[in-house]
Amino acid sequence: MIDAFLELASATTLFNVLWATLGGIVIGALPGLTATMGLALMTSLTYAMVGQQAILVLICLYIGSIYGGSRSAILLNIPGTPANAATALDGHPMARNGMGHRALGLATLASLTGGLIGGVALALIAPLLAELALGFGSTEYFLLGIVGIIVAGRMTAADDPLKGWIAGFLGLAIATVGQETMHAYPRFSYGSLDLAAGIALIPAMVGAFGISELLMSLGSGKARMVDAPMQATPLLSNFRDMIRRKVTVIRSCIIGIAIGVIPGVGEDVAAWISYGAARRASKTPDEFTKGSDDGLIAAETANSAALPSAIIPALTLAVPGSAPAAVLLAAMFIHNVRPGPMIMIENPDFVAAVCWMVIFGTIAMAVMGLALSRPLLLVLKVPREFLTPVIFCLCLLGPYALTQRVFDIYVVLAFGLLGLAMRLMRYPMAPLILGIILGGMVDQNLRRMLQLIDRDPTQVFTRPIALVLVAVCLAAIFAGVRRRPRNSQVKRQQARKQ
Amino acid sequence: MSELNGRRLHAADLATGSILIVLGAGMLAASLAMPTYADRGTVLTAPAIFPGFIAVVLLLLGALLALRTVRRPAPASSADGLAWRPMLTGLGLMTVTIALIGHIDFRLLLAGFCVAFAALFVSWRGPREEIVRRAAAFALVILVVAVLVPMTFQHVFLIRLP
Repeated sequence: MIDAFLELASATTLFNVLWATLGGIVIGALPGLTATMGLALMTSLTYAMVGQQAILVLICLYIGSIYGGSRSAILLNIPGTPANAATALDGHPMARNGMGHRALGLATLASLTGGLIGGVALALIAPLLAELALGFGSTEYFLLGIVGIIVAGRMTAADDPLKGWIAGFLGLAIATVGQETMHAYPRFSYGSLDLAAGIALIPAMVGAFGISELLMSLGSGKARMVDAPMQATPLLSNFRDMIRRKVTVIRSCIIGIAIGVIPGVGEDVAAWISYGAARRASKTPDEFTKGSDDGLIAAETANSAALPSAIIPALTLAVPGSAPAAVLLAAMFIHNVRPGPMIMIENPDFVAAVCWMVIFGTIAMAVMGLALSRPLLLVLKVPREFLTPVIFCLCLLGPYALTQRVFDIYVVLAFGLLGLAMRLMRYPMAPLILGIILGGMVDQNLRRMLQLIDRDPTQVFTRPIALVLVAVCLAAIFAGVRRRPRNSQVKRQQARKQ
Repeated sequence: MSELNGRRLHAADLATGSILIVLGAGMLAASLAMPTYADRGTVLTAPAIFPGFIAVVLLLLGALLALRTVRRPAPASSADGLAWRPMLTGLGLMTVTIALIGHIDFRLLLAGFCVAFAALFVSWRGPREEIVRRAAAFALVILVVAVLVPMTFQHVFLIRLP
């Protein structure tokens, strides 16, 4: 590890870490531009660089963009990347209540902690974790997707879980549109090539969060994003808050590392599961979605801890843990690094160097994030009449940039309308987006599972991880169903008193 | 409050429940019409399996929502506190802008959106200095929206504008 550090420590490294992390923060903060897109764009620009420096640039960009997404999630209620959708749930209400500075600071410290602990995990338990992740079969992947929807629906609509589940399954229904992967059959496309290509996640997310937010703000008649006076929070106070919530931080790190290492799941699912776990463990679950410190810390710690962890299977098995990690894996091959089970024997220095790259990138991200907090807060002071056209322009161009299809801009508008209707009728937006994210995974693994168990459902119960997931799913449904009568009774008692 | 409540929410829930039942039934019917590809091996990997499963769940959830709404008496009407007129005007403006993409130069279209937005949503009354200040700020917004942002996407991210 020390040799790898000495090899990396140079002025060139420092320069590359700084510009790549800053570039990542900017890409992540722009609604619609994802870490995957940023890495794909940057890979072509690193052809001429020395192998190790090229991978360093890509890892720092990856870290910066996942973190950058939290800036727009907190300030504008538009998650910059899908990994930050859970951050918006509590981060934006905090900003609206005049605690934007505190939310940005807490998110930065949470990302720093998650990133550093994830980096250490990468160094210590990479091969062991990768081997464990291989225990996940199609049954577990299918159940993980369903558990994600049920738990997200339950926790984002605590007063009415039915609406949360409707939003989640609607997201899964939207994910069925387009060509499926097993037989290439175009489902629900009715001869349209655009529909056959499917409803892309980013236009749907930007529309549901961004356009609906703009329309709601026009409807609410507020002059600014934040009416409450903004309070500056010292960094030391944020540190104290983080230490006070050490249990949430540790739990989120463990969840982030465990989820990140599962091939193909990624930072977004890690953030949701961690958020759900924090809510279940909280003594004040009602504060969640209204500006809870625990909610914000759980989401940001987990997505940052999942990031280095997603690199583990990419390095040790050549199977990426997330979509950006897949691009990173391709870049490694381009730069003559051969990831796979033999990497620990053939090139152990490279694994150690990657750990240092993650640590450098995470530290640079925190330094720049904290330095940029105050200037970024000025966004909240800009009158809405000036901010709305700028956000609208970004909402159109960001999703368009990914595939350069005008159809995606129509999807932004359609999801803006759907998002507006859902907000007005008190449906949570997050399960809808999670449904679209997980749709492909649930679909493929449901069919693989059915083929594997071959009409014998008892086979599911021979798998311990699957059993745990079924139990979690049933517990979430039971808790959601049981809550209603209790609420109804309270309301009935209140009505009687009146 | 910026959400529907009272009688309006009750009616909206009933409508949503009904829409979900129709959507679920339609999706189920469309799934049943999909090919099974039995000749390629097992029917258990047919493309209809997942949409069929989701259709059944949506049907159930829609029925639950509709039933729950019907069983509860409609509450007394209450105001939702929303300014519908600016919201619908904004929606109309966004729809027209998006519909015109591909027919007018994209930068010009964005500049037009900003001008229309300023005309509809910005108050141009008040002291002369205040109006001049607002106009200058909006000129800056047009510069950012119609020139700087598209230029960044075009030349930094190498995107061909629509």
